[in-house]
Amino acid sequence: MAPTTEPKQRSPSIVVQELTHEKIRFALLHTDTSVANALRRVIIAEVPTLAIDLVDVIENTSCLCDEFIAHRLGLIPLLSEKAVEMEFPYDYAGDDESVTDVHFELNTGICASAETVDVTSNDLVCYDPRVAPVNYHPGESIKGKGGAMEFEAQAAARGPDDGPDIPGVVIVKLRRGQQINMRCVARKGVGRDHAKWQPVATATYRFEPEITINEELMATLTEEEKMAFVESSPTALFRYDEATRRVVVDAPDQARSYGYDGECLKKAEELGKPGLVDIRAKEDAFHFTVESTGALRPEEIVVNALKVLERKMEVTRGELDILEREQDEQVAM
Amino acid sequence: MHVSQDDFIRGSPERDALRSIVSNHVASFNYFVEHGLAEVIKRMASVSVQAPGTSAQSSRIRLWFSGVSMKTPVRERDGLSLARDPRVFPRECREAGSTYKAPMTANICWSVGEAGEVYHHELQLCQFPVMVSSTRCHLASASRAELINRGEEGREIGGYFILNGNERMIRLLIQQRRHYIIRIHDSVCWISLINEITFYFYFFFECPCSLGLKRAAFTSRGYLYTPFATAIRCVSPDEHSCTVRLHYLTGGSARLAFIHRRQEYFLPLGLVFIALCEVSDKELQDVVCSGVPGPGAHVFASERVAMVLEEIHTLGIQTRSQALSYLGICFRERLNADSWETNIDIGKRIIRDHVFIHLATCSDKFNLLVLMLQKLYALVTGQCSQDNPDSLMHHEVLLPGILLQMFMREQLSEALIKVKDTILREFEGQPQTMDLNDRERILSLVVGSIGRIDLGRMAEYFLATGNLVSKTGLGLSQTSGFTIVADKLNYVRYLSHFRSIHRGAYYAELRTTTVRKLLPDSWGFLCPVHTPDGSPCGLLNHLTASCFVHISDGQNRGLEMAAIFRILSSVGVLITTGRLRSTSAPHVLIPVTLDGVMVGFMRAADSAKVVATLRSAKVSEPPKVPPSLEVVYIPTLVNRSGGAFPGLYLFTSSSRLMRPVRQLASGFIENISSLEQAFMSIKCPDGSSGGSEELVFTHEESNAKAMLSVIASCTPWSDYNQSPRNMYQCQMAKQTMGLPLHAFCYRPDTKLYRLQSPQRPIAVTESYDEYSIDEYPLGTNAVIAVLAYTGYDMEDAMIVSKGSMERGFSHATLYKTETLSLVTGSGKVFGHFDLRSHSLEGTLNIDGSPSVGSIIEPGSALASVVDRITGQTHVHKAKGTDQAIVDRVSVIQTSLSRGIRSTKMALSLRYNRNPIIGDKFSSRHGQKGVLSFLWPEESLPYVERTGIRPDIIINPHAFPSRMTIGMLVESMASKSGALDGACINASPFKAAQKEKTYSPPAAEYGETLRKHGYDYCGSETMVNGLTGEAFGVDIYIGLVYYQRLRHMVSDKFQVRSVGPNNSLTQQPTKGRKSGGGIRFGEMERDALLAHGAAYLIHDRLHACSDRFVTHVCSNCGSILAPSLKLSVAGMGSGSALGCSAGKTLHTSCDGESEGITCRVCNRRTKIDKVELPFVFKYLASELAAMNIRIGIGIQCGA
Repeated sequence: MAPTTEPKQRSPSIVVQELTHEKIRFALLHTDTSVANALRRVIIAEVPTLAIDLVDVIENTSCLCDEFIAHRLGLIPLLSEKAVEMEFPYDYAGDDESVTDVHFELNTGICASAETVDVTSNDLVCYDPRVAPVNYHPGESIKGKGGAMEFEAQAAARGPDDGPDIPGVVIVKLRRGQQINMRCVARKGVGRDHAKWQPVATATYRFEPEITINEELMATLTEEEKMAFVESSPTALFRYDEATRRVVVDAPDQARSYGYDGECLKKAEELGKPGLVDIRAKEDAFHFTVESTGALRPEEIVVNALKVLERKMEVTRGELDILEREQDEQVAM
Repeated sequence: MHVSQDDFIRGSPERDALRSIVSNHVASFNYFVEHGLAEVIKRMASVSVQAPGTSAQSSRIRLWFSGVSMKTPVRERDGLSLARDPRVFPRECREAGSTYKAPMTANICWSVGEAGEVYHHELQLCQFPVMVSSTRCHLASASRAELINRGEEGREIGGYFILNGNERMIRLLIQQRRHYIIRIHDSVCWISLINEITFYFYFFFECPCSLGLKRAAFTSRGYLYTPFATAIRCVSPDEHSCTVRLHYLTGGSARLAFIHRRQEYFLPLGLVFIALCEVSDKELQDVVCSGVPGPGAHVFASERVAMVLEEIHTLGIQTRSQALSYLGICFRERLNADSWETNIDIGKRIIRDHVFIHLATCSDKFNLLVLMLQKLYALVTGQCSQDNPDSLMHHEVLLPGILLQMFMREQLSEALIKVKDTILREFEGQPQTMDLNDRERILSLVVGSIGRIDLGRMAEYFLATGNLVSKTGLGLSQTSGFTIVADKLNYVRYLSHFRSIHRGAYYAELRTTTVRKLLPDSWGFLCPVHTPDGSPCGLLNHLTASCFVHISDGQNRGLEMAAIFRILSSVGVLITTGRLRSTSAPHVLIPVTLDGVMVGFMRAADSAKVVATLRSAKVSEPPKVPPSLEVVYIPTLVNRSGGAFPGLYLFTSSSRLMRPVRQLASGFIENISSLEQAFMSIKCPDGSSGGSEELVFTHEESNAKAMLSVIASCTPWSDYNQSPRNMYQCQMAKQTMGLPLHAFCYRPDTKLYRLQSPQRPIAVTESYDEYSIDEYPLGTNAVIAVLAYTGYDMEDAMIVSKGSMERGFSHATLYKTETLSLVTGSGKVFGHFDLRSHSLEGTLNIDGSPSVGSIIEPGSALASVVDRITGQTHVHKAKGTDQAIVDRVSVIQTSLSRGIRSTKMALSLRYNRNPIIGDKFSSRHGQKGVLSFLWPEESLPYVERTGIRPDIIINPHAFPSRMTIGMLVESMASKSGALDGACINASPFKAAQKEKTYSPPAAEYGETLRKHGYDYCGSETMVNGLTGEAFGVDIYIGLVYYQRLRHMVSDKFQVRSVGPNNSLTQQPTKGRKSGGGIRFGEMERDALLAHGAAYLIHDRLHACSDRFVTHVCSNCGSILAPSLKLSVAGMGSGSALGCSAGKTLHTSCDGESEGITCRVCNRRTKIDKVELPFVFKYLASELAAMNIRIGIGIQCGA
């Protein structure tokens, strides 16, 4: 059965509104919810990153137990640009470990300080110059500046503006006489398998509200009522314009923070004027916020996600083609 | 003196609050060692031994104890230990599995003859268990740093004993209040007072020289006995108690009953009166009649007194000495009296030791007996009503120290008797060589016999098992269940053990539920919320946070009495104490008693003044009377009968429950007790007029949460919840995994749970900080969405975010310790004899222990022991089905009893217990749920505005029927607290407190939410993670503190495909441990039958059970007869059947029936194969053994 009608051709577009090294905000326009949600889900669950996956405990005399520290190590975000070049350990059949594994070492030596000492991600020794914990400053490690390597990835990912004031991720605290010596292997994985491989803290989209004020009805309100109406929304949604004595929708960007809480609608009912405003979500505009853990640059995450989506589409198309061919052959017979 | 800078030293508020939790236990044990033991010794009767065949006083030896004392725990000197510090600390006892005990020494004294020389010898009685943190414990005044150095918790509070390495504590028990006459009407009530009795003895005046022995049921003590009685529990200063009851007989006479050695004795009342003092009949009549209230009562009383006296006169008893010698005759045998004691002496002993033992003088006893009789008459005539023996008013607490004191009193007196017997035996054995003045000889006898008793072992047995082995039963109504394990499952459970108070094991099996009722009398003393569900409901209660038990050492008793008398006489009370009751006291006067002593009388008009004066003296600075004085004024009811017997009853004695309330007039805090509370008007913070406009309040509650226990007051907004939910929470808090302790590395507890990353709740009550629960938190703040999502949250299931779990939500660990013990000298040692032969290399170390941190698979080697004699190595394997990690290995040498030493290896294993499907969680509002799905994060709904995804999704149906509004409040308040970055005060009854700025939580936190740009009601628009569309309604989402309960699937799942079968029946075994199955019983079978699922039944009950294929002879129908023919040469008939000699058992001689022959029919044909349950064959065999044959008819085909 060939499709009778061509689906309506759409031309989705992305408008980037804000981009920092932690966060990207963009608007996905001219498409529908399914596409937006697919993108969101892929960002969370299917963009590959690196995370510590295997830990060999050689010595652990700290107060935390081995598996707890191993779990904490796994959750440390690692700079994952190399992930695209690497293979998933369960996909790869070859012998070259360097394609799947990246090695780390965490050896604090016996703690000699009288004070309690934090072991942080800065104490991890990285053997691959491109893979390091986020905000890695080996000079801040317990052992001091000895053996500090120049990390290309570090330099590339971070601008000169952020200094060493961002502390490393605390792994465990040691007191005098305690020691940790572990060897870790980071591997490529996706967020669906374990949360440690999620590249994002969160990725969400919001619907753009479409607010229309029934000006006729609004005109029937007194000034106090108008003020009260403006106040009723917990987010700054409306503004009372002193000059025109009218209620206007505040700047459209502010309107995006509208939480669909319906407080102003309730207020309108309370004032005896239902239908004073009409708020509905637009169906083809999605305002995305993607917050990176630091493993990948936010824009990279989105691009990678789109690539993953594309690959999925190709796989689906391939399957469909095969199906179509088979059907054609059947018809031909 | 060194002043510690520690934050947890004596006097700091947190420490005081924590110490107050165990103060009842610790203070009472301190009383026991400081004063109680000495008091026991002081009042213990000496024993005398008369050399056989002599009667002279000079050949009599008298023995007694003096000066018992207890030291601090020290190492027993055995010449083997090399420790420099002789002190033993609790940690060592825990790790070594030994008992924390200290030597107890006593002076044994004896003298020969009347005025002979007194010999002393100090000897070590025993090693007695020591309560941790008591004055005899090394940690009593240790600072936090010292405690931590000693391997204890920084906030160790003690209150428990360590027995064989286990921490056990003595549970508080409720018993009848001392020195207060209670009126009983119902025969059922008697049971509660005297349930340990098996025999009753009646002194029928008709048969004066013999004891009438009669066995009687509880409800009938003889045809004369009516349900009316009064009873008083008397306690002597050494805490020995003896209950005296006065029974009213149908004829109008009365009997005085007491219990001696679990047997009950009844004395005619007249006999007791006359035995107490020389009093004329007229005097007695006047005294009794004067105090009986009500119209016509005078005549009633005088008639009955005449009857009482007449009864005794018919026995010919007129004088005191006659009465006493009559008693002596009756009791000589029963008391095992010495031959030289006169009957009068024995009679006096009965009066002294059994009738009102708290009173020293006969005149006091007489006065109290008169009061008891007056109360009895008032009860019989209906002038006053009976008392409820289940009411807390009439209760006091059996404290650990007092229990030990009673225990030691009996043990020590038994010891003396044993010594006496030993000496007597020695006298009889070698009468010629025995010289009473031979000091060394006597001493060796005494030391030897006391050494054999081993008091310490008996005390250890008592504390370690809770079983009381006693001849007298100590006057208690139970013989077991005195001690419980103070388990550290989590901190609040641990604390609650010390606050628990039990009604008594006897009531647990009582079928009536009246004792379990929550009575208003227990207000403020017992928590109405914190009692378990099920069988112990209402019997196992918990003290409120502010309630404590008064413990007095009785040292300044004389001064205190004098002070009270001074105040009483200054306000017009007529003091008559020490004298016989004046006959002139008219009945308008109200009797005044103090600790069960008739002190005097007062006018009813003076009552208000007397009470007010006493109460202000209680709180004055310094207090003029003991602050623990209980002032019970029971007024005369005008124009009404019924109610309690009027009087002013004062108590200063120990063991009463007390709690602080505020005096309205002075504003001072006064401690009140449970009996006086019933007759006081105490204002509740939100109680307004209390239902009666005439009520004049004299006191008010000091705190709105005064009615709650420690745990119940930790439930946030419990005043918003339906009450049973708060009770469930009290139970669930005690099953929660948390951080039970800090010293994991020093604790060999058999089972410990640990939540890996617990948090402080955002919504906390004041009590939470008061008791430093933050140091031992037990839960996690979680984002909760109330939403029906996908059906996986139906029926109290909850969806947990997989991402949250993977990031550490409720991750937990289970610690289990296994101990292997080897007796030194048995030839067994830990180690490897030959590493290669056992292929343990790499798994176990050379000393037979596993490496710390190594992973132990189920069934793999855990430890190995080498037997040096046989050279064999025995490998201990890991049990269970879970992978474990070795957390700790400790090897310690300990000394067992009698010089035997053993080496113990404690292996602590760690099991990972991260949440999986089927694990149980609960909020703090009795809302428990089971994890039903670890939901992928991208598919979870998220909040449209902030992108927040919930950790847990629960179903809205959890709320309407359970009405846990507190949880909804908590959700909203915690959310606003999280936004503000502050913890929220979630104490209950905040509305009742005098805060001017109080606003309801919904309004208060709604405003905060609104301020932060959130919806006022706490709900938010959410987007479905699966479809990407927003939900049509807003979802209630907020933060709730969630507890992870210890019930986990990993400990409970049971699965079997194939496994062990019972060897007798061939059916699968039961039990999870052994890999057995779950019984498929009749009801399950019925269900399948009803479905017509025949094949399934066949599968379950036959194929998967004891399916068995056997041969049956279709000729005779036997399933036993067909068998392989044994062909043994010369067995006769065998050859006739064609089996040639020499064929072996397993050789088939007939292809068709596989060589099977029916031994009954002697045929090889018509033998069929059938499928049977094996038990059927077993049944057939069993029946065959009884000569019963089972035949089976077989039809082929169809």
